[in-house]
Amino acid sequence: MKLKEMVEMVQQHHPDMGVTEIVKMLNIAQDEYSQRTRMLEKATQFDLADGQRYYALDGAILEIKSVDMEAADGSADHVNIPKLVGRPIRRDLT
Amino acid sequence: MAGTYVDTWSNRFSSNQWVWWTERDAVGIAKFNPNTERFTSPATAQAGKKVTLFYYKKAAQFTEPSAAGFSWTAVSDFPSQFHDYVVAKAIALGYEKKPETIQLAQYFHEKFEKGVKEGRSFAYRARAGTVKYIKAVDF
Repeated sequence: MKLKEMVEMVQQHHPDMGVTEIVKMLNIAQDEYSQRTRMLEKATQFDLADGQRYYALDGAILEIKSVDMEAADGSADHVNIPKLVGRPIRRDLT
Repeated sequence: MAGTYVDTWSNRFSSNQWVWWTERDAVGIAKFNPNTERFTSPATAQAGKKVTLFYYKKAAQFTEPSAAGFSWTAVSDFPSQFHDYVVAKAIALGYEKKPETIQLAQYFHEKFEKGVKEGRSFAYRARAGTVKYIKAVDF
């Protein structure tokens, strides 16, 4: 269903509502649907940097499922690394 | 966290291992040594190495008409069978604005809730097949 069709369906119930307002409400609906169904999945890559421990996350990421790290043996293998429960006791904010 | 595994960076067994966690809208990556309880950040040897994050994401937002990139032909990221539920939520939000149409809002909220249930079920099993319970048979 294209945006035009979605807007028209909403306008059948709310004929006085402007397109901008309807688009905003569709976006609210999409955010909630994403959050609650966890239906959409994706993967992204970044490079490790010398001495850098933290890497900013895109706002579209709801929850990280798993993390792979490139193997050091020169192969194209990526190795799954485990999730730490909690966070390190000794702080390092780099 | 204890135990041994092959440390791919040194190609030997080690009790140290790379771990990740989330904190302050960022992902932390460090090597954990259970003996010293110390975490070491990536160093020169790891610089430039790829890390892949697998994650659940939000649907891309529709662009508002006043902004550049607006298109009437934009399509939601969700599979088409779930678009109706997104519309139902928007309709419900519209009805919520007037006290006299609260009941109608309730109807469309319930429709959305049904969509959430179906969506979760789809996300959980549809792409990997249905959940099958295997009963053991004694020969």
